[in-house]
Amino acid sequence: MKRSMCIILCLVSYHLSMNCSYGQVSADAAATGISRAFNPALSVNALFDGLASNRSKPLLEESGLKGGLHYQEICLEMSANVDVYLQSKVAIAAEEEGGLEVEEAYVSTLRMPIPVIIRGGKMLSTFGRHNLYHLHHMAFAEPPMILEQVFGPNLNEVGVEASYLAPAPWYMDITAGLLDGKNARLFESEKPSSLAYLCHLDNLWDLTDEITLRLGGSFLTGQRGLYYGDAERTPIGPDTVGISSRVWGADFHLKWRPLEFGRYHSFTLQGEYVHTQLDIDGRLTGPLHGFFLQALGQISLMWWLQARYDWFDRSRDLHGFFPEPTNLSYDQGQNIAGNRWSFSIAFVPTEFSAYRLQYNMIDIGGHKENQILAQVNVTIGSHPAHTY
Amino acid sequence: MLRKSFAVILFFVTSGLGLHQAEARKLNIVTTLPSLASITQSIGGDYVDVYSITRGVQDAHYVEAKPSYMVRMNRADLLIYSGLELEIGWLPLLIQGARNDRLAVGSPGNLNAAMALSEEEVLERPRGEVDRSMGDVHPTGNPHYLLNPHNGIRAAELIAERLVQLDPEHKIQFEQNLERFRKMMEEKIAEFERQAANLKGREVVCYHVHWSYLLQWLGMRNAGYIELRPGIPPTPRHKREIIQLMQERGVKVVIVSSWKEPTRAQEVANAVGASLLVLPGEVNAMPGAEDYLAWIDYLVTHLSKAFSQE
Repeated sequence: MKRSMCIILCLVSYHLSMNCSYGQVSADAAATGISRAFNPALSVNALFDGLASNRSKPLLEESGLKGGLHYQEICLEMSANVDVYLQSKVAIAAEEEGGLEVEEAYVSTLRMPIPVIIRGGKMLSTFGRHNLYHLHHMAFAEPPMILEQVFGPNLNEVGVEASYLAPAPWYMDITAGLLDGKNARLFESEKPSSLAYLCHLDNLWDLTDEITLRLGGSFLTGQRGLYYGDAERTPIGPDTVGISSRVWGADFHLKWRPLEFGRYHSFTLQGEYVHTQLDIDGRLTGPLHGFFLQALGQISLMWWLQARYDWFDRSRDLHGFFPEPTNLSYDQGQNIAGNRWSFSIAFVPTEFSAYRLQYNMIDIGGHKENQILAQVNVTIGSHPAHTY
Repeated sequence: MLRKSFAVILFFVTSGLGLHQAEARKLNIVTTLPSLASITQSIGGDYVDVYSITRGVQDAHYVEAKPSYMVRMNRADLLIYSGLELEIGWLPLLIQGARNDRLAVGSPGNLNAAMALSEEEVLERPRGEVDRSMGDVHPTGNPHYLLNPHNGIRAAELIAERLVQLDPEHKIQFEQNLERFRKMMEEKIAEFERQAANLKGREVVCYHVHWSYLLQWLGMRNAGYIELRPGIPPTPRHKREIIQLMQERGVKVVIVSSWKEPTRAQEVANAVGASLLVLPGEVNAMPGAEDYLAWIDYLVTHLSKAFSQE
């Protein structure tokens, strides 16, 4: 692995050394003065929501959703080219009671001698597709259950990723990454030097001019701290020497958008399956797995109908390595399986505002809950385009 | 194991580089619009392979950044785009995802065709403040400049210049092709202008801010837009206002581009007994508009016919 790191470092240093004068002029960087022409593209996204539930402690508290009217998240995004070689993006999110969080702050390469993009900093990691979405980009008011359970709810570590566009006849992107390994649900090893490792394979085919099929696979591994997943983080007995977390993922995305009148209609079927494994001193257990499947139909210029099914199974997590991601009184983090049906209708008058009414039917370990959510999604400023 | 993995990675990386070199014999060009592809093919002839990202039936404002386009662009020597922020919603993602240093902004392989126009020639460049309450306004001006065939010639000159820079070996052929294209266009433009003499000073109502360069070239005027704001469908009140305006001014032709859903434009036309003219918004948007010249021909012929039937 050290050798892999060396290769990545060599590529980065070669790329930076292409212009030797960079270092010589860097002391004069302030020479650009205060011209506003170089200001970053700046946007603010605000998510407001209202939630009604037939339970007093709704499932979605972890996502910032509470009974009554609230703002779910205010997200400030900035992006700009740093110089000839680098681009930078920063996303800072504020939740009503969650304080400020730097969701992303990274640089990515603009030009390389080989077809590779290197990203470095704090960023949403390339595990599957859904993990790359900010909250306002999601089709539903909350992330899929399985991603909340495994990553809680995002995997956005400090790290470095290199994505290579393979010379295949179709789109094939191979990503390898080194992560800080600080995710509280998966890693947080006692060893300060402990890293996590990520790889992702992404394929996309044009089945026709109007239909694309995307299939991907992800793998993530790293050392885990020697404690259980309860709130107190009870230490595991001295008999256990090492635990490593492994997460496997498979994702697919089938999309139809007609060439003619493509602004008026589209249909997407998307799903991801995530499976976790713990290697405890050489013994493998699979404490948590699950999937989501969602169908998004655009029925006219401004109206969308959407449905999602979430399912997870934590029944083999006998030691409570994956604690409950929510504050539900009935979810004690052990021996639990659950599912959720979500249906929503969305009115999207422009790219910059959307209004969503969502119904959730939740069943976790036999405890049932019904929720109705209303969400307003507003973006002001210069917001970068979302990926396909 | 690690050595084997390293060898596999090295194979992929080097084969990627080899692919670029092998394809360098014929210029591999990606354009964003079919009209730009058609002009480029006329100039590049047998020495270029041209691929247009959008099809004629697609509205280029709302294209998605499909990764398969990145594959095309990864192998391209030259990217030609309309500019004036027509492709702002998707092209930056494609350029970055293509991971092709030759197409980076500022490189010879990156050509903004709008550079063929001077600032004064760009129509509807907003003066003063611009904000989103004005709809989908292009802050740098109307990007549909190829609807004026004089601008098509200017774009061809710019493209020829860039082809010569990238492939100087075929300089003579590119310059000959340009000369042939220019001569053909100038002859046809003179013919079109004679054919469209009856259109001078006539008024139309357009569904969307799209046809300004065409109308200006033919000496026509736009009396109003059916859309409330660019990209925003009309409210019932706005529809009533535009119907009233058409009645007052005797406007008898409504124009809508082929990629817009025509129901609302049809309602307005029916309300005043005007004819609805669905015109191809781009090359290949409708049968009979298969290349750049045929597209302009189609537009002039059908406009003239609409007014002669009045």
